Amino acid sequence: MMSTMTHAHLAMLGAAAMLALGACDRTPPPAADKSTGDKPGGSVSLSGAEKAPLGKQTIRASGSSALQPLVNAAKEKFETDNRSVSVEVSAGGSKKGLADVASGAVHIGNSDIFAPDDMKAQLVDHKVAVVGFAAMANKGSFNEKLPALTLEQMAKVFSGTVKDWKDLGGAPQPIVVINRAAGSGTRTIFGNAVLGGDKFVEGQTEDNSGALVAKLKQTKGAISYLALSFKDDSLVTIQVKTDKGAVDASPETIASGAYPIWSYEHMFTKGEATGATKAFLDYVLSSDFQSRVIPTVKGFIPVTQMKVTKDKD
Amino acid sequence: MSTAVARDRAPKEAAVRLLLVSCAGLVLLTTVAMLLFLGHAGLKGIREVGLVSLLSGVLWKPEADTYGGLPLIFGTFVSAAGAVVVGAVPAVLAALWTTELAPRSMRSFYRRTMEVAAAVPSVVYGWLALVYLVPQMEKVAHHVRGEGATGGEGLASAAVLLGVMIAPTVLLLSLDSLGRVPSSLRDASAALGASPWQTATRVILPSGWRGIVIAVFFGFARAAGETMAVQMVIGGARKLPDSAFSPTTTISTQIVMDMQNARPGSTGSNVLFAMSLVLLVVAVVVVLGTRWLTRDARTT
Repeated sequence: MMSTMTHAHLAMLGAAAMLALGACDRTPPPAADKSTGDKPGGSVSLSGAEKAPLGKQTIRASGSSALQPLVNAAKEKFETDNRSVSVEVSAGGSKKGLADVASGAVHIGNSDIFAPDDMKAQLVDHKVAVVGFAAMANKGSFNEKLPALTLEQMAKVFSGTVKDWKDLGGAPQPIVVINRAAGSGTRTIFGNAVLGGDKFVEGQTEDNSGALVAKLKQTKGAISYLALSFKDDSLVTIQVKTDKGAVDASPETIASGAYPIWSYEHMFTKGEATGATKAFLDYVLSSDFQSRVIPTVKGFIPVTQMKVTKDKD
Repeated sequence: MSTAVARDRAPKEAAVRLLLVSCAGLVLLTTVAMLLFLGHAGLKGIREVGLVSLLSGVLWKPEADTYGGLPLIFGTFVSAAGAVVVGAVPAVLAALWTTELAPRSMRSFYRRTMEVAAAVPSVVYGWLALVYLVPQMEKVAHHVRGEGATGGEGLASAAVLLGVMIAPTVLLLSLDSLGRVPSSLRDASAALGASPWQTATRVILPSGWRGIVIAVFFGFARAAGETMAVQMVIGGARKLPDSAFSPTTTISTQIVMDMQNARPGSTGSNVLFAMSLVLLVVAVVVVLGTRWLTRDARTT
């Protein structure tokens, strides 16, 4: 019954949003310019032509909860500089963000993952930042001397082949794998980077990162995966062992490509962004926001600093 | 003819009548529309996946197009049945004590307390259980199954939580039912020299059993349909549990977890409707079963 209501509700929301879109975004899309995002720093404002006839505008964004803090940071500054625009951000998972923007329910779909093939044609990708991910574990005597793990070792842990910390170089203690729910971008990114797909052993599941951190602290022998913004001294963050030795997850190692588990944070629009939505995305990609604001938001790396790239998760 | 007369006499009455009829019609229409919609999407889901694999498959993994509903159905039934054992049975006995044996001054106090407990929103129960029950259940798990046992989220926590949640409702319904037993029976029993305890178990309980059956079944149905609180403590593993303490899932939990990824019209969405249909069938069976058990047959 709940789902029935949700679908009806979504349909109505979608219809309303399409009407709104039709009314607002009448200006023709300007030439695409999202390759570098290097705009002169300082304040950003809408050009008069776009601002004048529209009155109070709302930019709606939904999706990734990992990206939400960054979008909120941008929203604050942007709304101060553009009094006529308000930005509404809601979370609900990357896949919801993708679905919402594709259906026209929101202007911007926030996502940790690239758009799936069946949506690629209609969505325009704006890579706004980079986030690193790491395996994190409950802290205890069983893993206090744990060496860095290779991606192969991690794969065995998360697929359920290795079941005890002693097989990884720790002390005897059963490993409890805790997963994020299926719609999670974190799960998708980590699964692709470490397991080559969603091959996680089925087990306890948490549907958001905050609850997961609490569970990891509480459950002896537990291990999971989190965005680095959730890094916590009371958890063990596991280093990745590569040919060149153990690599700690940090902005430097991720930007240089030494640390392998990371993803872009995407802000998708349906077709090229126009009007206020374009101005907002331009601001997020501006050198002011990228080099001055992003480094202050825990766990995010400016996309402009990356020395390596990828075109799929 | 009489309605025509009434309409002539009071045009206002006709307006009120129209309002009431249209309200009744609207409620009926909404229900029928919901059932039709649910049936349509649910049957589509069943056709796409196959009824047998939907009911007997042991792995639920929509992201890999694997829809084995058995863990969901098992989790729903076992946690609800556990709740009946943990919550409904003591609630019935407590109701018996309250109406027959407790001091008169206790009765209304007890009733008021249970009314408050029944009104607490389920999310509050769930949150309390997550913070206080689950860690204790983890200790029990370690005690019973050794240090290697996984955490406290699982079937046992869900059953205890649901038991606590349905107990007040079952108790209140049982109280009503036992209170309807005519006091002439009590007096007759006492006059025959029966003790209050004998009266309670041999006279009152057999006389009020219909209402108690309804109360217990209602408790079961509520436990089977509960979503929020169960989702918080059952662990969300989409497989059959290894033990009473290991995490698993229920139908309603999985609907909540998966609906945000299920695009309307997709198989994932239709299958969720199919599982909703299963939940609805359970509810209907419970209602009909209660009717049948408590049918008015004046025999024995």
